[in-house]
Amino acid sequence: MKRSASLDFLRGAAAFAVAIPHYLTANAPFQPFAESFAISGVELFFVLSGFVLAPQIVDWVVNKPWRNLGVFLIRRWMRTIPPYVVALVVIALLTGNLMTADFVRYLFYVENLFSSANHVDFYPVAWSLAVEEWFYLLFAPALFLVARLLGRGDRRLELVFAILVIVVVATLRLSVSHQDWGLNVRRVTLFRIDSIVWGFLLYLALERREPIGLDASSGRWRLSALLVLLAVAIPLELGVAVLAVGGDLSAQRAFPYTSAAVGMIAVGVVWLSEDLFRNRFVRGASFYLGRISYSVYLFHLILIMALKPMMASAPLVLQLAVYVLAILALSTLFFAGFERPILAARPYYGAARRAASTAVAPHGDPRRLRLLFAIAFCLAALGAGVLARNAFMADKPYAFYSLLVATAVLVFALAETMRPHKAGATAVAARAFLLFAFALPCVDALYRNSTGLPLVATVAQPTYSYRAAHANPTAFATWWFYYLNEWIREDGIRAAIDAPDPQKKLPFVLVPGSSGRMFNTTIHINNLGFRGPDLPREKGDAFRIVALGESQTFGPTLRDGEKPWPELLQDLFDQHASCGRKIEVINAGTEAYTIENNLERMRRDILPLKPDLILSTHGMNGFYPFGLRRVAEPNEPGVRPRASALIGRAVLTIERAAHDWRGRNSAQATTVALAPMSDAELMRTRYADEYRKLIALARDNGADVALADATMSISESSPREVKDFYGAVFKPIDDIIAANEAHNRMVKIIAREEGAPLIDMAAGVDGIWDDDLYLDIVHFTEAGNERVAGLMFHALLPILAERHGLHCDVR
Amino acid sequence: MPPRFATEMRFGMVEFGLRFLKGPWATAALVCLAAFVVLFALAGQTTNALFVYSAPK
Repeated sequence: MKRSASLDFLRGAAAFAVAIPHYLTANAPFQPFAESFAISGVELFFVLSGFVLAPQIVDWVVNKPWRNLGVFLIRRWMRTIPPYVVALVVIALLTGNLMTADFVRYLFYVENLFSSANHVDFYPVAWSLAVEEWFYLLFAPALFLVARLLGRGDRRLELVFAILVIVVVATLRLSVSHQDWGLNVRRVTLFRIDSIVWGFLLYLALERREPIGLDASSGRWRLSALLVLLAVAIPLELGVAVLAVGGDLSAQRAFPYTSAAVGMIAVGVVWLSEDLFRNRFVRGASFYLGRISYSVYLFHLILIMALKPMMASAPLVLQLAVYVLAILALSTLFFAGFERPILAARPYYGAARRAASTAVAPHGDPRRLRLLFAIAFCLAALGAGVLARNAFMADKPYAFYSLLVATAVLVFALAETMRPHKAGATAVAARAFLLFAFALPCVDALYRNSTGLPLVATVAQPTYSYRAAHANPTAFATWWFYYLNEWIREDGIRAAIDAPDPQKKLPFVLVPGSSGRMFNTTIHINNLGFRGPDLPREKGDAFRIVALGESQTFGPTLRDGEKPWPELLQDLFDQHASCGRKIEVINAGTEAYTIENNLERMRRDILPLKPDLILSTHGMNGFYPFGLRRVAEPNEPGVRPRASALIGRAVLTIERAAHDWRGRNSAQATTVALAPMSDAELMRTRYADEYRKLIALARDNGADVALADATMSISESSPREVKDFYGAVFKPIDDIIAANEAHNRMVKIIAREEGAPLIDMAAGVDGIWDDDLYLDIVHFTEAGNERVAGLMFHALLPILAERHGLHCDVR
Repeated sequence: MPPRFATEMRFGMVEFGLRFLKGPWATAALVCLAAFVVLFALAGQTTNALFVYSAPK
């Protein structure tokens, strides 16, 4: 059958009649009308399919050699299966169903063979493709065999056979009692295969009819009458569909027949109106719609999943416009890059070769068109490649795999456009990339299984101590990747609560009133720019304590309800102490700040709040910049969570090798054990200066200062293997331990010299590596925060009494 | 099974196999396989260094 513009138009229209209502009904309340529209669109596809396949079956298969039956099946499979598998893999990746039993059922078109078999219907439009596939496999071969057995292949036999199939299927449908009509009847292959046979019958009826000519007035009248018939039939079909999805039993029984009737009217009328599509532009547009219709049907759900959440707040018209444009773009690219080469490679039934090959050949000046396509593919491949790279770096596996496949398809399309069907390095490279992109998710899954790394980690069972990590290394790896990613992910907490410093003196500032998720908790920055609940600017009668520190004080808490130690300290004062005045504790810890940054913050944000006591809890962040560390932290390539574990690890090996090679070729001094710093040396460091500035600044503004020394999970006395365990992250670990010891010695001397009270953290917190107090070397767990808060509470009580006259009664 | 069908099927499969082996897809499949072998070889070396990382402080 010659390619028909009118039928192509109908095919495209039917695809969008499914795609647009699906957009409206996705994640939305039940909308019977939109639902019915989509259902009717699918039914139209069935009749159309039977109608266009019928000439192949009756002219090239029935009463022809066995080879022709093979050619028919191979042509159908090459047309339908590869794009379906691509769409299935992408949607399975997006929904996390790759390689599940449901996935395999979809892959072999058996998810709805006799009833709905899948646990998760993650690709809900696949059922109709299964009906099509089983029609190819059953109807044409059965008709071929019957004709061969009876030794005849006339139209009467074909007609009787088609009617017989319809009667058998109708009987089967009637014989079942169904609980869920939509799921267990309408979408079940066995009960729906007749819907395509109706199209076959229609072809037998219209085979010898020519399209109605519009030159004569009689033709125009006939066509008008037919179009009126179509205009009446469509609302009737929609009405039956609305009733059927609403649960009306009679409508459900009638639905297959009304759909078939309306489908036959639509296909017949459109087929006879081929003359309406004489205009060159209309023909071109119709052919285009027909060609992309299959990918529209296959991929529209993926685009709904990708686009709808992003555009939910935009006006509906705009949403639909973007959605339709995205479908057109994706389907055009997919047809040109993927479907067209496969279509061109299909076998032919002898003399049909010429006619068939012209049907898929590009129109217009081939060279110019090819160049345009090449530029478009090149740009699109570059864009997809950049997005894939970003998804890889940001550890977004679903996005990465999809974008890598998209890039590979576009590169393949580019190679095919530039040098179609040529062998050689380009063709091989493009094909290898395509195979690689498709295989990577499965190979990655194998690799992750072999190393015990899951695709997406959670905080379900955090494992952070040396003991727990040794008991279960896989759990530790899982936990650590998750933990690390929470600090560094682009859309993480830092992006939500940090902003550049307008005065450009601080590395960043906390945004008042902002909040963001970290681990399984929401971190809120209050009205004054500190972590915790909102506070009045004026303190009134309260005694204001400001806990000034680093990320250890800020507190990377894991779950909702957990509090950093300053908030727990506030709770202790509120619940267990009456001091005559309200004690107010402000958490002025900021991640990544040093004592120097906090001095600036004191001037800017803290002193205007008129604090009574500054509780300094500085340590780690200043060790290196202020001279306590003797060896710089090595700038080594470290493990980062990446979207593909396999590629991530392979790249890391290359980075490490390059790093080692550079190390060998540079005059880097080897680390030698350095003697501990003397007290005199310590007091000459910048760290000591910063402490003196802090004390002076506070006292000049009427605030007292208490110095807490720094605490870490390990100390000089910790076992070697524990030091090495933490040393895998914090390097070089012995230098850090020495710096911590030196820092605490320095704090004690400064406190003594300046007459500032000292809070000694060594009692029960510092160096306690095996009590699950730490998430890593410095950050506290919930138990760690509680321990610190308790320690601070008991250390502050005498300070408040002796230096501020606040005698608290402890309950 | 009619003998003609069997013969045609056999010849068809052989023809398809030969065309596939001579075409770019077979070479591409080998290249792809080689890429995965190289990736596994590279990635395998760092499996023991799972806990070597750098964390923000």
